[in-house]
Amino acid sequence: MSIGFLILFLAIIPALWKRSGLFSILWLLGSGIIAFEYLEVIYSRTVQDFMISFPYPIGTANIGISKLSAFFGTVFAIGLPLGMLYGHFYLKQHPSEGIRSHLFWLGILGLSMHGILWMKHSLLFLMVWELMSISSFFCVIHDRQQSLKAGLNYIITMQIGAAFLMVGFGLMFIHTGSFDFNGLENMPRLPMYLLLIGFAFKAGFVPLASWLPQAHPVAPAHVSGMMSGLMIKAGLYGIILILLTNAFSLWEILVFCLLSIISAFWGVIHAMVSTNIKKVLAYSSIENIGIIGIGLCVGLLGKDAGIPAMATLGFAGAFLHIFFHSMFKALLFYLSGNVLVASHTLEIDKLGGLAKSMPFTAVYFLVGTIAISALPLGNGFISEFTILYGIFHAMGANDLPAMVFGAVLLSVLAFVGALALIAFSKLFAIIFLGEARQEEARNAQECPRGMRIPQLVLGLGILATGGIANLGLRFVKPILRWMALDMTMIRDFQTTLNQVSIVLAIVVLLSALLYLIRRMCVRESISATWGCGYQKPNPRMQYGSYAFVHPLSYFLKPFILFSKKQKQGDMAKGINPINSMEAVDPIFKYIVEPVSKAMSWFFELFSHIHNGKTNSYIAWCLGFLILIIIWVLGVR
Amino acid sequence: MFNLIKARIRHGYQAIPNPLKTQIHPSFPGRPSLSGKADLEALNRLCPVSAFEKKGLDLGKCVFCGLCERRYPDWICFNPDFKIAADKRENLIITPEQATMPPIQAIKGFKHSFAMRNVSAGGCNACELELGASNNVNFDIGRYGIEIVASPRHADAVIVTGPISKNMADALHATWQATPQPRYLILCGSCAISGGVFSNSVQLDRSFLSHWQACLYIPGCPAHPLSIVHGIHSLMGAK
Amino acid sequence: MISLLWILLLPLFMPGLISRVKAIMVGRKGQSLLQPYYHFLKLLRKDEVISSSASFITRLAPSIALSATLCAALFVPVGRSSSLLSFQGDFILVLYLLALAKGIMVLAAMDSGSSFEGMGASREISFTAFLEPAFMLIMAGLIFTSGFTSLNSLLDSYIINNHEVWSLVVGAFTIFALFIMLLVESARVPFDDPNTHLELTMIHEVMILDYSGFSLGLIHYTAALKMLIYASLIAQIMIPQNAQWHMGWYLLCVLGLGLVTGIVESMMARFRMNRNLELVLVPLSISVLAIAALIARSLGGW
Repeated sequence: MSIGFLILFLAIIPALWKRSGLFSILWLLGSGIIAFEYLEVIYSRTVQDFMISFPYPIGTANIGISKLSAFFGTVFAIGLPLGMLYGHFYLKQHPSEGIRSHLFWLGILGLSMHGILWMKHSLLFLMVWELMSISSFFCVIHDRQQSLKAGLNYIITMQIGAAFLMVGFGLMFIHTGSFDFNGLENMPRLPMYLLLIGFAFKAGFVPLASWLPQAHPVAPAHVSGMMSGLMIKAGLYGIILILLTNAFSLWEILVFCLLSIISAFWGVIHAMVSTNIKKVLAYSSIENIGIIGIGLCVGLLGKDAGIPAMATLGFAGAFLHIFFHSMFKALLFYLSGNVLVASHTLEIDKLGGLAKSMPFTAVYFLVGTIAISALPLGNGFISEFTILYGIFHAMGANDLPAMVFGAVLLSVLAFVGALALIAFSKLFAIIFLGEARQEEARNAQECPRGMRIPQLVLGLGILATGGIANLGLRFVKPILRWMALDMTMIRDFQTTLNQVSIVLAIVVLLSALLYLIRRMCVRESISATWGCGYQKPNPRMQYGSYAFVHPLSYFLKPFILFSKKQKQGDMAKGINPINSMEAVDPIFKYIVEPVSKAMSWFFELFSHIHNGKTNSYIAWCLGFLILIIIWVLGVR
Repeated sequence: MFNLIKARIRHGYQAIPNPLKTQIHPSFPGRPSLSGKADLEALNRLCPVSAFEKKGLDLGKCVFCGLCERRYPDWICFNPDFKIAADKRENLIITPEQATMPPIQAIKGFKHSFAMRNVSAGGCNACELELGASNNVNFDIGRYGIEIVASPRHADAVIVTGPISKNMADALHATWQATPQPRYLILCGSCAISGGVFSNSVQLDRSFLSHWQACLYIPGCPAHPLSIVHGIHSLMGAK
Repeated sequence: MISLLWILLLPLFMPGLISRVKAIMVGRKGQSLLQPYYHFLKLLRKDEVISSSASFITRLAPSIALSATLCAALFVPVGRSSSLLSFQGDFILVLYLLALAKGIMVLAAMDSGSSFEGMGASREISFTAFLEPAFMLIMAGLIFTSGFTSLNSLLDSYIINNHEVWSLVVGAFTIFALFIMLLVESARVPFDDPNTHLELTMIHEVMILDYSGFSLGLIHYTAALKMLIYASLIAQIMIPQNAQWHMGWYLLCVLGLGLVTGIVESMMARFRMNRNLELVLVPLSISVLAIAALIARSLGGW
């Protein structure tokens, strides 16, 4: 293990020399070793624990890895090097200033993500957590221009989240007298809620997720891929850590359930109406976090109601979704990078017809689309299948909350799945199908082969875990056993998954057969699309992204704000009127913006302190030191 | 709903039992018969569309106005016979003393199902109406598995009505190109077959027909639904 | 094996029956009952015209849609003979396979770049959003009577008990919800008009405006098969307990459904498009009612 981390640390050296290729190779090498060791922890009984002494105030700290953190570690160890590799090729297409610092912070981000899994001491945990937030902030603001505002929004949100964590851990310290994570067990309610809220900021639960759709569109593709696919899982790691070590009352579970439902629903309807590729993906991350939350709720409800199968499958589904989401979301973000490189725009209404100029990107995107909308053959289906399978165990089990919330969650999962299908078929169709809507897309060319290597790996991984349905469960099973869940029915479930795989194989073979028959027997001739007699269609007359979701937005109006812009034209002077419409996130408009305005007003009051005179700064420091001394003496 | 059912019962069965064998009203001007002693040149001078040729009367040009029959009842008479469709252009010419139309050679593979896309290439809407009428409750062309479809992609045949004006030439060509193989061309009405009363107009562009051979001609101005039903049914080769 | 034969042969009979019923309702003679078979066979022999803006999706979609729907149909029992495949919870897979077929056809429609087809695709996929939860809830309702098993045994052991009010009510709810789903999914009249491809009725039929020949044949077959899946679900629920002639009852129910669909189609006009989406909510709300009744009953609250 230490060799692996040593390599990852060494990777910072080539980063300082701007050698991104060597950097990513070292990451691949190191992560390979680490992943292997994490898997060893998962599959064997060996637990790696070290007690290390640190100077005051930390003291002796427990640093080690449990099966849970090993699971997250494996996910990170698979996802991160692919992101670094993609970043290497992506940065080649976008030569810019500041590659050195970007690579440096990228390395720190990856290391700190692994780091938080090891820390079992709250002060160390908080330090690494902060490091992760800061390094990801610097990664986001790579271009230092448009991204700065969104990046600041991101870092401030993270700091608020971290503040919740600090207070939570502080209260924990007051309660138990120790910073060790053992204190997480059976915590009093208040610090627990604070910690959950703090982690929820990172994980991206609504209403704390407004940073996601702001930060992702401006960040470089590999950074958004790693953040959305992997880093938000760090928040989930914290949440699961607390969920596993505490007992919850039914009401608390139901509130968590409701929050997850709202997250899933909120994320997916905004994914539907957004027109920026990365914004769609960011909102869909919120949705998927909601689905993972639903899985966890099913597990908790099953535990609460005494339905072991429901508990096991709920948790299994949540873990599977964590793993799978890290794959398909990262893949889709990297592909959005391909599209950006090829067409220099992320606005889907300018694109179209890329499937013909970028066939590989289109095929990978299709795989990602199938996976993320939980259609069979993709791996998203397997995790949702597991969760649904768990919920169905609650039906007829004679437990009112399990049945009622089971029915609600069933319909929510199905509804959210259908809406995700709409959102992503829109995304795929508008970007890749039809004809190019504007010049940008017309001149697009397939990306260099290097960019497609990580995508190929992820795409094959998605198809493998989606096709061989047992593969993911085999990975998750030791963790479920470690959580002391009932494993008696898991064998039956594995047979079920095998049968699913067989059916999927039949589907694939049958469609291949039909396709081959068509290929052999049918002669094709090419002719223009039948325009119902209209002879002069132009590409802009194709169905656009908003038109595509319009029938449903009639129903979803209460949840979406549309800002309409009208620019009067003057036909006599040849100026066309321009009408445009943009979906606005109500949370951002009514909560985040007023709060940030109030904050900037408040800090404006202290702006005269910042007067640029060194001697006054020294005076402030001195005053602060004196205050501290007085306080310490007074307390003694 | 009850009103609907009541109306349904009152109206009863409305379709013509067998449109191929039915008797048409005696006043219907259908397949003409020419007597051997007819003076074709005199007839041609009278004819507004010059449908009379050396060999006989060209049904592809005839607009069935009946002018000739009224002037020379001894030479020519229009029988109430709607079976006037032909599979070749020359078969449309009625020679003196000809008693029946030559049989239509059936195409293969469309015995029970045949889909057509109509292109109204500058037509006056009469043939189009009759084509629509052939799909109504009375004539019910659908009973033979014949349907008129919206997209040429779904069609086996393009059925052209109207004289093919310049503005419609491109559209006709596009529709033809959009029809999958094997595809057939059907001309319905004198305008489509020969240009009809517009045959000398400079606004026509009939070059399409010099590239592609039609496989069925349904004369008439406009073509009668029964002629259409009979023509297409015989083309399909169904019993 | 026999049930595979039924699944392969029966689907195209339904549209033929419906159009015959419609023809008789308006006083026509109507086409042969076997017309969809003739039509299908003719299309298989034809060549194709492909749009110049089409990508690999257009070429691939009909075969994927058909095989996904066919595999879904293999889980549905036909008459007495049990379904070919079945395992615990297979109905989730059935639902998602149908969604896969629909999703890929929507992409294929968008592939042509025609605004008409885009409109159809958008409407088609919007309707699904409310049907999937309804299907889930209906299945959850069936589980209350027979436990969490496969679709086959769920339907087999689901019995509408004539002597119990709740059973009748829930059964009627379930059948009605499934019937509306059948009308939506197979693009039937109050939602869509299969006879025309005009702008007014741009849902399912307009999506396939650019398909021809072999692929079109596959698409027609897929649509008919989907209709048969829903019809079979309803039929299996309606077959009375201890029925002697299972297959006979099954055929009777399926044909009866064809008859009812045809009559509905002749009696009703198509709804306005935004009304449609409201009507699509009906199965969802009905299934919510049914499951509420079942939960109440299972807790002894009846």
